[in-house]
Amino acid sequence: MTPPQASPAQTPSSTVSTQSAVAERLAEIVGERHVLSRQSELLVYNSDGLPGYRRQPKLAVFPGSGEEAVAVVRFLAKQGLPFVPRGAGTGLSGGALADDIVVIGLHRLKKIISLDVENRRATVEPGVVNLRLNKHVAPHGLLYAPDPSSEAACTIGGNVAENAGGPHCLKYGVTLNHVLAMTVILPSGEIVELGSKVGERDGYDLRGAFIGSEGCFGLALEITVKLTPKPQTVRTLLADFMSVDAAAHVTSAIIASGIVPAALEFMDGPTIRVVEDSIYAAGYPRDAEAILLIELDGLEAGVAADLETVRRVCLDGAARNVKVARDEAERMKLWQGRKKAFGAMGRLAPHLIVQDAVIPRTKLPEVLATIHAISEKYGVVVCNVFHAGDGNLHPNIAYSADDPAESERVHKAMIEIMRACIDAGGSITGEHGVGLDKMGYMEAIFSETSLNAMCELRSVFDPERRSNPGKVVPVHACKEWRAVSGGRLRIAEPPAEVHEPRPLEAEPARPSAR
Amino acid sequence: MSTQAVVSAVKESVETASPLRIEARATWLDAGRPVRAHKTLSLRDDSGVVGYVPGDLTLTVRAGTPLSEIEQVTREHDQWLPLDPYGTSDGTIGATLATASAGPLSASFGLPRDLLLGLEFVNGRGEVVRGGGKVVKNVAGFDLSRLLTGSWGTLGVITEVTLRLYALPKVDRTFAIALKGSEQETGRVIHVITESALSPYALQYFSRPAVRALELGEHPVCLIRFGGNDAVVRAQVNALSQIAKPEETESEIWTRVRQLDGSAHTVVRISSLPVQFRAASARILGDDVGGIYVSIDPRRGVLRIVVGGEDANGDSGTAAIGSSVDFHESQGVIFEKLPPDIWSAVSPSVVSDPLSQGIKRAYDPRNILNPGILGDLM
Amino acid sequence: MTAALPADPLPHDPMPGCALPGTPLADALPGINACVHCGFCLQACPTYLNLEDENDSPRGRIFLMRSLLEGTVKPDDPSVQQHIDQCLGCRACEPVCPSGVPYGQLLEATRATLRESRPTPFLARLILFVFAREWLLRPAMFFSRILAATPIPTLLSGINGRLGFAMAMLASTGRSIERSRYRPVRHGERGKVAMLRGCVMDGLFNTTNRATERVLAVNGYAMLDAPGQRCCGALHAHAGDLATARSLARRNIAAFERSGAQFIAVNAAGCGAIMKEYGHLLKDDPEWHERAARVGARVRDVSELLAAAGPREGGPLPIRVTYDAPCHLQHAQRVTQAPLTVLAAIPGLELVPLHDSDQCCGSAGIYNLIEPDTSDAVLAPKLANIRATGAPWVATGNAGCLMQIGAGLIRAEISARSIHPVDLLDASYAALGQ
Repeated sequence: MTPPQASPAQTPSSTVSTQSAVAERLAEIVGERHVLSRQSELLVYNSDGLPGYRRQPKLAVFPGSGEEAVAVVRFLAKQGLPFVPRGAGTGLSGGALADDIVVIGLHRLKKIISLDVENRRATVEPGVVNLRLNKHVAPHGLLYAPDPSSEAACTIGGNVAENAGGPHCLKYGVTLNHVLAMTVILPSGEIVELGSKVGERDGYDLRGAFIGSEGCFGLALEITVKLTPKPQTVRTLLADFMSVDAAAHVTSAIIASGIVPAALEFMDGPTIRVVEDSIYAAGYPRDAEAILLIELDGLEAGVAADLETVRRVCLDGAARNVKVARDEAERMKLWQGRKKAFGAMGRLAPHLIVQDAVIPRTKLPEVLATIHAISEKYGVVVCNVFHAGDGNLHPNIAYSADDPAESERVHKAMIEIMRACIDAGGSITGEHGVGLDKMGYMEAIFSETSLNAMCELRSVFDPERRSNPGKVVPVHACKEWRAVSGGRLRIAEPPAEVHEPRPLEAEPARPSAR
Repeated sequence: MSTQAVVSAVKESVETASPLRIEARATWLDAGRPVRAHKTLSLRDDSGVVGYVPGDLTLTVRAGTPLSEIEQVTREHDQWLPLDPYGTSDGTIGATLATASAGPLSASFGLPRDLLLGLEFVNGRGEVVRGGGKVVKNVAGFDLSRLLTGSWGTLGVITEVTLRLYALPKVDRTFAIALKGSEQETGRVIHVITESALSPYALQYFSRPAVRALELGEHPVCLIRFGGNDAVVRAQVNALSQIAKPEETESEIWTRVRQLDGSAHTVVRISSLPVQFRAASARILGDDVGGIYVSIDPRRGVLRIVVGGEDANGDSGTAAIGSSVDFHESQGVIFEKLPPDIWSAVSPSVVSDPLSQGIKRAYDPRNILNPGILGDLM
Repeated sequence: MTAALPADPLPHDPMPGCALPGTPLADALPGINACVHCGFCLQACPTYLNLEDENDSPRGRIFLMRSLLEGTVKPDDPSVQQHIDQCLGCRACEPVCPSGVPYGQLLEATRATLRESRPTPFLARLILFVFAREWLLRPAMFFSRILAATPIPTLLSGINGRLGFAMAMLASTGRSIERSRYRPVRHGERGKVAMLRGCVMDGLFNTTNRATERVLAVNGYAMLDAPGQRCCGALHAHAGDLATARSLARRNIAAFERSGAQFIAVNAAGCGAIMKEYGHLLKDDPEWHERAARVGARVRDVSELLAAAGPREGGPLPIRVTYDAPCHLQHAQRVTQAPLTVLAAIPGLELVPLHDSDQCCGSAGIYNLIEPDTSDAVLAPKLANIRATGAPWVATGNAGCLMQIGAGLIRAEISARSIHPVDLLDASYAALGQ
């Protein structure tokens, strides 16, 4: 284990907590089985869905109830210890990594607290898995609209932290548009209600500010979400094209036609072939250079008319074939291929970069051509699978990190791709969040004063910067912050009554107890 | 007027410790809100389109741009910004967002915060800050756009905004259903419409006095607006005809609905669980007190009471509100407009919680932006 | 914006010199590398859902495997061993894995590798020792059968701990459905079939084995004998004893080759799963690899053969039945519809849907005897779901599941019995007098 950065002389002995002392106290709260402190058991918590990044946590604690979570946060607050909240660890920006500090896993908080069918809302704990909630409300003709591709594994708490989207957010909006209220424990241990469960609220939209704060503002312990009635009719089309450009133009044409599809997804040739080689083979034409998966939903009559319009737009735009799923089974199969595409790329090479950027929709043909040119220039295979309707690109590169030369080329290609997206007037992330991965790009799209305004907002929720430190906004962008040796955050001039965040002391060497 | 001019004005105010009242057309801020400022920073002239790519369905405008101008610019490309806040289209987009004002379309298209993609503002230190971006999906950085929406100018002077547009529907028709029957019968119609698969653009119920002011007759009325392709509108009209007797009315009616509170001295918005409204709607709509206009949006869960129309009688008005609405059952009682002298008595600060206070102090440490408008700092 | 783009924080994931060269785990590296860490497997994993620690999930265990190879954890680390041991091997993670990680194979390779650095628990060693030796297995099964015929298991089934559970398992084997005798008409036009008699099936579910022969005959299969066959080796492979598993596999391959059968019918899902994968088990054996693959390709679950034949409709059997899918049938063999097709051939049988029927019951070979606490935790929701159906019969096509669920029902005093779908079809044919 890495030695502590701070020398004992700098840390007053009265506030020293050894790792075992902290672990013991946490075990008193949650039970011994739910505190991990052995290095070998913490290994699996050193990465999330983007395994290229690894940060070794010092301790992991898994509260089993809201009360336990409150006790854990308050204990850590009292000790002045920093922590990282974690859901299912499916995030794709390294946002849930804890560098030598405590991980609070919220996956055990998986109760659906209440379901109000008449008013179409549900209150859940943060560890409830997105798909579980959907299965729970489906018998009542309702659904929870945000559907990230990881819906089978990711938690609602994580969705709130990342402001998760998904294919259907083109029409239905992202997590932000579906969360009404939250009970939040601030890093200080104070509990606040953000938003309103039963109506609208005046004043600052603290709910809106909290959603997408990537675990830097505290932990949502109860989340009230809006549920959406299942549409009367859903129709899914698959259009295939012999050129990426044609599919990109058709995307713009569909949007321009005034129809808001429930989803409009794009997959390019390399992606199609990877999917077709996987167990999720969806029957996509292997020889196509691009396919569009278009879903329309709503009232029967309107969908039927829109279906014809979309079909015509596709064929006018040089689609080779337009196929409409005949039944639910066929529709699910078409979607499986899309939703599991990212995992299927694991077959190509041992390592994978899953990129996330947004561009204005009209720039799709241009940017896709640029990405293609970049991939040729560096001799890498870029698989494009993305939410075309939103202009939310996911250029992915499978490669072998064991090959330094290839890694270097991939690295350069990714920088150029991001540059192209930024130059097109886009954003560096549409749904994966900034986390660790995108932090370096923040200064490319935000000015110093804008980044500082974000730091200030964070400081209101978490004045000691103990919740998910070192993420989202680069430390040096925050005026009154500064980094100390080892990159650990300290408060420059801590108020007298505030404990300073500090690392846990390493355990004195002793023989293994087991 | 430019962002730089706003920066200079704010910096000057900081230096001279003279708070600013921020306005553009000065329509919403005329809501009687108690702003303690002698100087006014007007964004009236800071208007115009900055960027509009119809294919992207996004529009970037200066904050002082009136809604009517946005309507006109987007209509040329068969697009619109589906925001219809109460008042007139002379109001500006900046004020609409700063006050988070929403109208009947919001149950379908979302509140102002849902249509905002990014913005630029000048904080209370005279620094230019941008939040969000110009694309329709974006999670880069903490969400300053949502924070500024509904902050009534107290955290920053909004100077520029990027909005999400929609294509204008091919067909846009509005129908009125007169609720002539007994309270029970009215309740039944409301229930059936709510439970139906109809998916209207807007749906509102109006009490008798409001209906009279709208010149729609003598009975409570349900106004319902359908949009989309021809087939979907026709199918819904047919379905509606099975339930009730809808009469088509010109879309202009919505403009009049928005202007109902023109001469009001008090506007109260009560929001609650949609079901609670459904239960009480029939009874509330039956009340007939002169000068008190009640409208109900059952899908959004909002009941709006406008007091002080031309034939208003102040005392009975207040009594009527009390008799119609059980304040204990609804959490969100929001005063949109009040006579200036009763603000402090009726509406305590809505930003008195520590988080809101902290944000205010961080963004406007000298308290020079619209001080007092949301209540006082503790 | 003019700010220069930063150096991209490039993810890197090096595999420095392998810490365990030449081990089965080192061979499995490509499978480990296929994992993209997406986490889709977490919610499919019964041990993760019950233990709520990612070390007890497929993604976590694969991470531990990788760490073993990287040398960041040691094979003798007790916590690593514990998490690998706690895996049920149900392979529910495989169908949900978009990258196609061969998790079952990785687990076997890991257990084989860990075995070298520590002894297998005594009870497991004893059971595996007996199962690999015909001269011990036969008397053991004989004794068990005699015991099962007495009231002793039922009397002892209520006592705490493993002995009580084992007795309940035994007691559950003697509770099949009553049926009259019938003599199937034998046509044999669908081809020649040899059946894996199996050890537990042969020893404790002999009724089911005979029913299997009869229903296959009714459906046009010619039944052949395959003398010399042994235990399939699944239990050994799952426990990491690959050497014994391979030796058993070779004997079975030879026996079934000699039989000349077109199909090898297996009525225990766990056995069928490993036999279909004999080719992989013997992939490094130049002499046997091809033969193993050929024999493996002829293996069918009994329900697959029946479904392919229709199966022929039987006589009325007016009972309520719920179906629980064995992991090794649905996940390992990916056979999901065939057992339902079999049940659908029984007139009058009412199939009651079982909530979470795709979840593991916690049997997992001998897991329920070695890791009793986790096994019980996994079994508990299964029993609750069965109770909720109110059905008196739970059909499931695997010896381990039959006993695990059967024992659980007895101990929880739920008035339902576990039964193999083939027994139900057999009873239906008996009702027809055919």
